Amino acid sequence: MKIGLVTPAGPVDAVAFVWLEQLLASSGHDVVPVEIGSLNGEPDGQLDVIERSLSFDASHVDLLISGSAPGWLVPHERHLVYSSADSLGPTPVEGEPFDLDQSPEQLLATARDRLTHAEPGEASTLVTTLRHQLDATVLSSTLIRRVAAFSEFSATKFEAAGHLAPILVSPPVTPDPLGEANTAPRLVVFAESSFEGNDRLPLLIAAFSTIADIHAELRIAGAGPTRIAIEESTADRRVQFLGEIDNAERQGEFLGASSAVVLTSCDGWSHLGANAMRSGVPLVVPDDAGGITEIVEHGMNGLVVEPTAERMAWAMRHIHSSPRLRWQVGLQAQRCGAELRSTTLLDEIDDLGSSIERHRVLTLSTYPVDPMVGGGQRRARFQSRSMAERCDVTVLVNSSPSGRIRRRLVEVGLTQVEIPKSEAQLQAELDMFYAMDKTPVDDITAARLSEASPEFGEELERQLQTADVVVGTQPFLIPMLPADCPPIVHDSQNVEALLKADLLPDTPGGRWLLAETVRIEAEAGRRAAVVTACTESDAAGLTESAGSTVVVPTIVVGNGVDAAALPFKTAAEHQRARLELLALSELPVDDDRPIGLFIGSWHPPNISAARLLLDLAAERKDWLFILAGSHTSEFAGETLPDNVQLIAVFAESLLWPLLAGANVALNPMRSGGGSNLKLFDYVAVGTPIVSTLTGARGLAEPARNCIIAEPSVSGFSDAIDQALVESTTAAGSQRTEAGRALVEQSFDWQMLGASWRTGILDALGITPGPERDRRQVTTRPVLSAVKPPSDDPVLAAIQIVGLQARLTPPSPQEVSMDPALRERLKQANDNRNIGRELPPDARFTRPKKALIRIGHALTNEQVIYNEAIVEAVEQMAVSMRSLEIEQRELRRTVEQLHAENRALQRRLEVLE
Amino acid sequence: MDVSRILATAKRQISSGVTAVNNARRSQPAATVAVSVPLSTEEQAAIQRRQQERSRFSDDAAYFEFLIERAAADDAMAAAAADQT
Repeated sequence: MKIGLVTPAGPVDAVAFVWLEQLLASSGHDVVPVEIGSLNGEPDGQLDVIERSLSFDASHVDLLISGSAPGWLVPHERHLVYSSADSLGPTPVEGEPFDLDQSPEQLLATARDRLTHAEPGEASTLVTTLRHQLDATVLSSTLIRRVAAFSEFSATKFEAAGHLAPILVSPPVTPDPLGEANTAPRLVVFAESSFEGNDRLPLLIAAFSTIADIHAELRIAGAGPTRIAIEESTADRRVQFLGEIDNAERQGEFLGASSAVVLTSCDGWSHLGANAMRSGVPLVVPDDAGGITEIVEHGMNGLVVEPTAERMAWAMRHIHSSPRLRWQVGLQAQRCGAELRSTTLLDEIDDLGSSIERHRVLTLSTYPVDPMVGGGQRRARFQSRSMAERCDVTVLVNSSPSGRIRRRLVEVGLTQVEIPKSEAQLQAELDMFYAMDKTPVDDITAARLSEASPEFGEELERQLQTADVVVGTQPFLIPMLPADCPPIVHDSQNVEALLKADLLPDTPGGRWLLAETVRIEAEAGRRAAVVTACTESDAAGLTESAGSTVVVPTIVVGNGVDAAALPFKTAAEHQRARLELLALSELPVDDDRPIGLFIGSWHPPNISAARLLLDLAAERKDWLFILAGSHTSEFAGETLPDNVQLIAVFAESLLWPLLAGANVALNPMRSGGGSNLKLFDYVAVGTPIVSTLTGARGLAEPARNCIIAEPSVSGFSDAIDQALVESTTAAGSQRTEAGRALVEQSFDWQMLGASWRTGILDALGITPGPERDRRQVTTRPVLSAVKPPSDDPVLAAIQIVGLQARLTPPSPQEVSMDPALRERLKQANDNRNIGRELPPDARFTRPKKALIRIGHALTNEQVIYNEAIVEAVEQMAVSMRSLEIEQRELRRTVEQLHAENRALQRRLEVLE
Repeated sequence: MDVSRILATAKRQISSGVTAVNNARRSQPAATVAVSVPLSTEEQAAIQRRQQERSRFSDDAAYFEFLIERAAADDAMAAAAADQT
């Protein structure tokens, strides 16, 4: 495809377009630069550029991509705006507005006329007014096919400029691979500045000067008008000004840094931030940095601080103080960075270029399909992905974690629109939650309470105008659909009436909610043109509950696993993941007890299963038990056995390390409907499984893939030992390999999703469009190559010295050192159990998630940092370093004495 | 001074460091203490409000119907207020 790129204004967009050009060229596209000119000149010149843009003939390219004015003024049938929106200034329009209904020629003539008669000083306002109005008009019109924003922050700016539906796509990333950062033993802070006096550089230097007691270095790249003044006024010799650096030097800086600091504020995106994360460098971000704060989670994959010298110094000191913190944050940053890919953007560009008309499928859901946290979300996501291979899918969600309307291109063909609930709806949901003794019932009341959130109804109405099919993920939002809507698919995940009957108490409130569920499910069944179910028994139950005499086509598609995202673990990966699992669970990494893992969302059958494991843990202190998922919130106030660790909510990127790091996956389910989702995840990764027969439902031959145990402490106690012994044998390998083969053959979502989609489209007589050619991402999950720290403070001190030994060229004395000792120094890692601290007054741009530990452990809100320990170890490290120097000097003296002795011996021999 | 003596010195210094660490751990066991956060004034007020509202109804079913109707009315009022401003 021939793609025209109009180079945008602004450093963030300009860099993004350089990378985009490389990516497009490497994808086989013919990239043509389109020169329009810039709007930096005098008012007259600006009008010329605007005129040229509005009348520019770009018909020689198949697709036009711009990132700012004047590029987005160029008319083109297929025009994509891909931008940080940084060039959309906050300047209000002050001048007399223009009539934009006139033709471009008339508009420019009017502008020139007004410019001729303008008073001195008014010319600039006049052109600014025109530019703002043109931006708003062009961006809100259908002239532009898509406005793709780098971040939510950018999308908000576009909305403010008048564009109603900017979508989020992949933020820009460099096409070059980035290396993995070294864990520098001393603090090396890297930052980039334009030296234009508009960033936080003076603040960073001031913050750095307050940590003068730390052996550290601040390296600042960039050049600009203020550089000389700043350099001259900086007395701190630990601050290095690097000047302009090229990409290779920048990469070198990243790999040698122990922290990077974002200096900009209110930018749509930060390339420095994103690339630091991709390299695994812990990032310090001011909380008003803009788009980059959307992917940085404080204490998890970076530090988000208030832009004050005090807080920035705090962040640098903490990153310095704890190699463990650096390791954890760096690893999580690298994981997050690995998810920043350009594949969705490139797919979308191909899609826009192809201009194939596809059927539109609207999916209604009470939860987002991305990110995936629970089993239901995974099912809905993979089904939607499969449908999006042939149709245009919009998932409309009646909630929004960000509290604002958010449109996001999850992957090509699949857009997620999140509409926030009103205060009134949230309040009512919360009141019911407490009335039901903290049982969430917001799904049951979703349709009736949506009256209190008219924005959702309005968006639904808009979406229905172009939809060909409506899929209700679960029945709960189906009652909102008007009588004359397109064919409805009731995509069930359970027989809700049966599930809720188990879940809800036999009280007036519980009975009321159950009656509502029965009514909604029956209505969904009656109105549906197609019903899809997880199991045959669910399908039968749904037919019965609908009570309809009309036979509705019912498609049964079981649950599966994303086999590509959960590859079969190797022995080396298991060892590395195990260390990570221990370290991330705040357990000593040298604890050699086997790990039993249970994953489950908040769901009564999961809680019941986890209770059995708590009893088992109390008896089996020779094992560690990690319980992960939202079910663990049930045990928040309880005293648990000390060999149990809870991970309440974990990021999607942590799922594979959890599964791969465990020695045995446990599934002691005693009840539950549908098929068991997590079981297939365990099987896919190749972790030996101990399950009850109920837990293994969905497998044709459970005993072939799992060790089956009775749902009792004694049953599981014996079975876990058996599983552990078996895992080292050929029989164990055969069992796990057979499981993997089974998953790939019969339970891969790729295949199951296609069967779900085909079933629906065939039943509705819809001929789907051609299959989208998506770019495949085949990278294996990220695991740290660096051994995580252990808990021994002596090792911790050795580690600091050891890392210095590793990263600095060895002296002759070190070369002559005992190889075993040298290796130990190289390998040793800091091992103290120092967690993360959250400043009490930290501000966040979105809710925190991932690795929030609860119960007898600690949550992110709590201070889990023990400064005294850090200081003690720091002192030890210093004394170890001085000892090392002393040792070298002594060795030299000893060698000199030896030499003198030998010389004397020789002289003596000669004399004799 | 031979290497073994150097290592002995190092060991002594490390031991004193370990003692310092252990003392620090004993004196400040923050790393294993969970902090319970008291309810805010707003949270206390919300609990009181819920109790008062719930007490006006004979059972949860009637209470839930009230909550749904009120949410719709509240949102309509909020929208009207926003229109006026």
